[in-house]
Amino acid sequence: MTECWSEGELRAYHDGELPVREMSRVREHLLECAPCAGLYAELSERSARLAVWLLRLPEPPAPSRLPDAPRPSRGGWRGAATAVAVAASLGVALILFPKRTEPVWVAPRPQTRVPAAPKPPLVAKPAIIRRAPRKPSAPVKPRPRIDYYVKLDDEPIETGLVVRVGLNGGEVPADVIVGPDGRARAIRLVNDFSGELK
Amino acid sequence: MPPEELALSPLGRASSTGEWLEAVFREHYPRLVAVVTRLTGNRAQAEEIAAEAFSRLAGRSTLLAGRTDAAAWVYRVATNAAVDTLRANSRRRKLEDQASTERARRDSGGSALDDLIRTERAARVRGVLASMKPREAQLLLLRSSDLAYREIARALGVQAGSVGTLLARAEREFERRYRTRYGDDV
Repeated sequence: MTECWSEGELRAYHDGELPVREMSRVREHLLECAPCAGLYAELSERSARLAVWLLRLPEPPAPSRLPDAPRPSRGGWRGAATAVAVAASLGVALILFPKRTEPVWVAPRPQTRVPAAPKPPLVAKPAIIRRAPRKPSAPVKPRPRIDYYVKLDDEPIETGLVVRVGLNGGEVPADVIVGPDGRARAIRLVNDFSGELK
Repeated sequence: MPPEELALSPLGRASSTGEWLEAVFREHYPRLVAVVTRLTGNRAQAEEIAAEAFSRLAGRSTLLAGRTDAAAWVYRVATNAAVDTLRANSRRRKLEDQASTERARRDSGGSALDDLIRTERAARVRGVLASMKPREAQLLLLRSSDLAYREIARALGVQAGSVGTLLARAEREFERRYRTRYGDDV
């Protein structure tokens, strides 16, 4: 029996992404190796399911006109050359026109010693700290749960009854707001439902 | 467009860097917008992300000088940004999806339930992608957009020979997460 192939190679084989020679070798191997054939079948089926799921992300139509393409920034060699030129001219200017410095007069230090000021005694009056009375904490208000519905007509909904139903043969749970006249007025799909629909 | 054409076909004819960049832009911008829109569900946001990726490419003198892997780089930057956006705006996107469903229902004058189910299913797929590792979500999106393994490898910065392994792993992870959230609703 020929050698077995890895999961990644079998996945690439499924997409026709192996070199031609390896494609034929994998094909021959799958005919004689039940474990590899089983793994390949599993990968193929999962790939098909993924394709169905990801096709739910619709691709938009092509744009009617393109925006302007970006221009390459000028920050490369030209920018560096400009920076070097500016730095060089600044250097020349500093050499030709050095900063003039004026002589600074420094005051002479006094010769007589000044006695240090007497320190106050280290006796401090104790501070009295009073704690503010604790305020009772406000009760935590429960946050209302908001569900968003899609209206099924343009009339305002004043009163209604929420009825849970199963759509698509009972597979998709949904809440329907039924008006006083018995007509369905709005609907939403239920994502977090884990019970059983009747 | 066949995946092989992502290999920067018209660029050999472009002489200056500006012409070359424009050729890359014209060839890949529409497709990049389409790929990002599928992930974010928002066309205007996708156009912003794609334009930003090309603007960043315009400032990358190394990529511009080498003229290689520019398209792969732009795909990597744009899909990275798209995954970030998807993860950050999951709640806002849900509200927008509901609003667009309402608009679609009004425009179509009916089939509100079909639109609702379609939008909800797309939101579920986006939610699962947002919960995955960014590179796995990018991988699934790019493969689903018909990019070849070689192009996916260049866009994600991995070896072409490891794309099959990564893809099988990402698909298994997506299915596990989807079934954990939504059961057997395929």
